[in-house]
Amino acid sequence: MFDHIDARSPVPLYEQIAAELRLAIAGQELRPGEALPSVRQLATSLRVNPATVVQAYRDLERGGYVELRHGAGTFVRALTAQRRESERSRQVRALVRRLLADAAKLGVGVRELREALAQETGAKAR
Amino acid sequence: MTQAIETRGLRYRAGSFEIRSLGLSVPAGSIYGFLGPNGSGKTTTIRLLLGMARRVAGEVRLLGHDVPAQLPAALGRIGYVPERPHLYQALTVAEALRFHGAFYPAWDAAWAESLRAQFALAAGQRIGRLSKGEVGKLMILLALAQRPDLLILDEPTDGLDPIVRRDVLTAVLEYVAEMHATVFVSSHLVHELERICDWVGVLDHGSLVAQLPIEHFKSGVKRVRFGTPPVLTNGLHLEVISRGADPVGAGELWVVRNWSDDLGHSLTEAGAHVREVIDLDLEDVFVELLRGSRQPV
Amino acid sequence: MLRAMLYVQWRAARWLLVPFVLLAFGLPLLVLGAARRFALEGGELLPERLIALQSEAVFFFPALAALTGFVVALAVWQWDHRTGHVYALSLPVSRPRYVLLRLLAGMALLAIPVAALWAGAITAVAATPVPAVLHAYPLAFGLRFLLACLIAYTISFAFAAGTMRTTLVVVIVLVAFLSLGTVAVEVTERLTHTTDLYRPIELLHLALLTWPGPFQVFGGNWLLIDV
Repeated sequence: MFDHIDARSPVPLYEQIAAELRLAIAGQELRPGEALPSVRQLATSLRVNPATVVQAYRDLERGGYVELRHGAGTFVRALTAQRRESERSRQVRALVRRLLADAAKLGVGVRELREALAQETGAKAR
Repeated sequence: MTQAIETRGLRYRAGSFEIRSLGLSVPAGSIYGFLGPNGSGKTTTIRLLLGMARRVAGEVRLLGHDVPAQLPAALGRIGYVPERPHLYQALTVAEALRFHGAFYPAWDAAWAESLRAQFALAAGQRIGRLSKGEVGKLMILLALAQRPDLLILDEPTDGLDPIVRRDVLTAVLEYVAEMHATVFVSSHLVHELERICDWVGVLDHGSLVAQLPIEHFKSGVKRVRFGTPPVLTNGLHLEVISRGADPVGAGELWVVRNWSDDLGHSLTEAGAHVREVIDLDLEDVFVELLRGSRQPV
Repeated sequence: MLRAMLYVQWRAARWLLVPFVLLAFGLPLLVLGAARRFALEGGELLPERLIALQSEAVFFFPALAALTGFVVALAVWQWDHRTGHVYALSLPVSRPRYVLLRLLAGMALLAIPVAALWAGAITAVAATPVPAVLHAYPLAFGLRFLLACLIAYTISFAFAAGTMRTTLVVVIVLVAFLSLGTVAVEVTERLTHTTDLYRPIELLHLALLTWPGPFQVFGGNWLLIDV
């Protein structure tokens, strides 16, 4: 987790961190009741401003993914299965959007993409 | 007090170098990156802030205290790491800690000891015999152990190897996480600051070229490849930093300060053809901004 | 704070003090020892000769005091000069207070050579059979030395604190006064055919050693054993 934090990206750092955590929570990598690293720990390990981590955690709290318990830390909340699914599909669509944007830059059309996708997945199945 | 550092109309002159009406504004609790090429006046500005150089005109306020009228009071709450080490070379690490600590009311001797161990600095080692990296760590230690409300760091990691840079950065971030202190750090190593700053101020030839939150700084500035460049009219609110021929393909490459999707749409409607919008990292923005300010379009 | 400053001063100047301590202790012993040797006649010390011999060496003590004060003053500022005075400007003490701390700490350091001189004087006197008509004044002698050291120290301190530039300016002004003044006086004498005008160097000498004031201590009575 967190290997893809990119200061270069136009996406603000707090949003990148929050997105990674959302994905982890939705994908059950982080289980309900589990504690997230403290602001201090995460900030120093990622070498980002602690305020950035605070913002990310607050964002997650607003979205209902975690709860901030004063003095104790930040804990993952249980998500409904429906919630998890919608989060996953959001992430997948974002992934596809990025792919389409990159393809557009290179002038690659949707049909070409579909063919390449079929080839790649077909090759794996084989 | 909402501003940890505040200057108004700060003016200074030394020979041919001049600082003209500088208006710094560092919000309390922020990490403010003071960027600028070598020779832009970063160190001079810091010296002016701390009352080490005498200004020609203007106001300077540190943590709400006027400089130089209330300077000693302010200095007790400010941790300063100068560009060049200012330590007495013949003292040992332990002696330096004792000397330094005697002057600061909020000095935390226990924490100073634990930081010393964390930085692996031998207590009995003479400062003159420490390596450059160790001196850098010691200076950060001294600044942190006095538990300041404001850290003023002048090129704290310049010339240090990456491991030491990490150690220094980690210590500062840990402190900020715990104490919500303000950090004013000057550097020309933009990549380092990129992840940690929430405000940036860019200095060039003694003038503040930009001062704003880092997202605004980065988000608006883009490189735009135009197949057909737009015609600049008064109606278009396009802040162009620079423009030139596109090195790749036919067309032009512009660097724009206030790019947005809406702006892109209106330009396309006006007949321009946008080939690509390229994101810039902080260093690119910094370079383009400087280039643009030196040769205004 | 004073303790911290004192410690740092000590570290900065401790080896420098060694020759001065040795000199301060040894000089009274040497002077009285020589005086003893040459004033002895028939197993007794002749008072006039004792005084005369001491007077020969009387230059050394004020010179040592001046040099000690001067060197200690320079030593206490040495570390700040080398580090560009950053500490002086960045520590949370007002400039006057910082300077005062240095001044006091340096003065405390001076106590060491002064104590050495006292010890030397007392030892020298104890080893000398003082003739009945004379008295030994180790206390006054030591006090005079202390005062001379302090004065030399304080004045040197004021210069040592400044930048090289101010020191240079002062030295140039002094040299200019002495040289140009001498020339001016010579010329005036030739033109007006008088011969009694004081030369600047003489004036300086007079001012330093005889006019009432702090410098008088250097020119006063430096005899350890006197009437």
